[in-house]
Amino acid sequence: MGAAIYFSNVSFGYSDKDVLSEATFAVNPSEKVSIIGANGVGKSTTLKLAAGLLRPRGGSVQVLGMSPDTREVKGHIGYLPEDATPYLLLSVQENIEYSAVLRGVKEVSEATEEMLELFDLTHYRLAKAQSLSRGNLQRLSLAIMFVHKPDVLIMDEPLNYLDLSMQETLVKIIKKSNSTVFLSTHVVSTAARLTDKVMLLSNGRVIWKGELSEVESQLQKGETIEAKLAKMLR
Amino acid sequence: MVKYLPVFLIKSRIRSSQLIILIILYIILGTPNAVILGAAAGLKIVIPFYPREFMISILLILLLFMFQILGNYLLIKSDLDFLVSFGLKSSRLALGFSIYALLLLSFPTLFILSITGILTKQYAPLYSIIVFYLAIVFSVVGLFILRMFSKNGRFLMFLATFIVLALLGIAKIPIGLGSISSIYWPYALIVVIIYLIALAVQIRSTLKTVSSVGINLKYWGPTNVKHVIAFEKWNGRFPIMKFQSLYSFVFLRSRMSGKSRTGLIRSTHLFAVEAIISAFIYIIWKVLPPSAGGVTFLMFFVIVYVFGFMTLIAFFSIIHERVWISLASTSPLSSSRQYIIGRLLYEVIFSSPLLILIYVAFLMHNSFLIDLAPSVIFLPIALFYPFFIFGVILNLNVIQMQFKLSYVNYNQHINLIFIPLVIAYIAILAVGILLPLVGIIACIMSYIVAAVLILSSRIMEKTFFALSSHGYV
Repeated sequence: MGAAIYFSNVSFGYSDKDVLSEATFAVNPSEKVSIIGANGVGKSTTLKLAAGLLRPRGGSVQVLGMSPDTREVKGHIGYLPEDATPYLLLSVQENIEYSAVLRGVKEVSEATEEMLELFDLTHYRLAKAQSLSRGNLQRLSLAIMFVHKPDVLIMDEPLNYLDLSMQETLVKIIKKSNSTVFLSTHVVSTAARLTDKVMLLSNGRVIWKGELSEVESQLQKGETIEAKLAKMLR
Repeated sequence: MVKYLPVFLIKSRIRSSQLIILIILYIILGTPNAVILGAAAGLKIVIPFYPREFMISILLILLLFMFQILGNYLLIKSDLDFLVSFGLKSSRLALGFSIYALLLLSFPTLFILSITGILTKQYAPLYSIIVFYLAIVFSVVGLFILRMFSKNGRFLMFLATFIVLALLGIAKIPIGLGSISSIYWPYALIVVIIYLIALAVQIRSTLKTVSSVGINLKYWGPTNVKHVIAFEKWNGRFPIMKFQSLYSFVFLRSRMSGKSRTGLIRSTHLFAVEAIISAFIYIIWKVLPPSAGGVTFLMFFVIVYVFGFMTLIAFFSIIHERVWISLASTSPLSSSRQYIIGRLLYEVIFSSPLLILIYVAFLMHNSFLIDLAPSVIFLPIALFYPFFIFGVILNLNVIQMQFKLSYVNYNQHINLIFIPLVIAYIAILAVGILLPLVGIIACIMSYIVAAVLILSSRIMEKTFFALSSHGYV
């Protein structure tokens, strides 16, 4: 079986700078991988490429064996941008329902109710999104992302703004799920809680991929894992 | 610091290139005015004469429109984050902001002065408008400064402002209402109405910007929606297009105390609304004879409708879209097409009362509204071209040119996307007045070009990636 997400010699840049340079890596089905790197190194860009929001200048991106641009694949992808903001003038329920309709969910009402309960938003179902706290906005964004039960989850800092209880809920959902997870974070504990492997991105390429335990085994006395990873990224 | 603060304030909001474009624009528009003045000095240049009522209506609405845009420039969050916390004396800040605000709010005056010569020889009432405008500017600036640096309640400030304005009016300084009324009675009424509306809009805009710094939740209105949109009943075909064509009603939720009947609206209901508006316009047209200012009022109404509509377009344009939810749900080609066609559908629906009216006027062989036809026909396509020019052709960040709707900040960025729209509209309006048929043909051509662009897969995909590559999701 092929990779769930496969980048083959992918190059991408914005008008004023190159971000990815012939990056090649794979995320296998059901694998859970965090991408870690310095600010501006292209983590969010990598996620957007995987979600089909950007098109590479060179090389190719495949999700489940197809281009992420295609409608067929979109139905299998769940994407959460950093600081995700839903439609502020729609209610919580409407936001989830609209997302379900967009992604061809058959039982829209049932799926919406399930998400409201899962993310503890039932009480806010009629509230306009603009009236929610940032933490509740993040919950709503997660509900929007999960409503069609995607096979591939692409998330940018998913634990941001969540309270401890909701963080635990999300960790349990992800650990239990069979979906492929590809997320970006600066927080090593987030990577450790949500994923099995980390991928280090530097100078437009993936420079290392492995388990955090491998990094931990190389720590010198008094050295933190964050310091070690920072050293590896230099 | 006071010396440079106005410069800083302008530079922190407008790029140098944009400022240069604006200045060039004023010079270009001002040239005909200079030519007319030259003609008055002996050069024989024939300038066509147009009805005063028409021009007055256009220019007054233009003022109102510019007020709304410029209100957003007065104070932004970073001013308080940075400047106020910088330790400068409030008196120096107030002076700096006053100079900046006067500079900023002088732009419309310059603009109107510069286009006066193109359109009419009737200077007296136009200069009166400018005097009124300056009165508003001073009131607004005063209110703005008071609001920033005093703890007085809004009511007192409103009261003080209105007293000052009333005194100005009573004293007929320097030209005043009296002189306008003596020329033609509808002027006074129109000017007073516009004056009050413009003032209210400007004050609201200014106060809203200031209070948004402190995240004024009252601005957002009630938290719960009363009528839920029945998305679960949608059949799943072209949901992006369907949502876009109805999104204006969702937008009303932020303005109408959350009581918008968004969830109840069906496309068929719109036709009833259209019919009522069309009938209303027709009745005004027929009931009020020209001698009673009926023509003036009708023109005024039509232009208010057009400008109001354009303002609405700007407010719920791409900034309210959520690429990560909707446009990312299907292929780039399909999502872009659905988005643009949905918006065009909405715009056609909303401008149809005027289109119907023009058609009726045409059937009845009245040429008056035919003069307005190009500007009305152009209306639905008005947002399409600025979007393409900025987002796709110039590859600029559309979202930055509008204002950024974020959780904390609302209404703090600039509607520069509006500038080409206004220029295009004025151009079409001018062509429509001079050569209605040419104007109509030009409008129809613009639709054909738009259709070609929408049919082009490459262009539509480029549109989608132009949005997401600028970090806007």
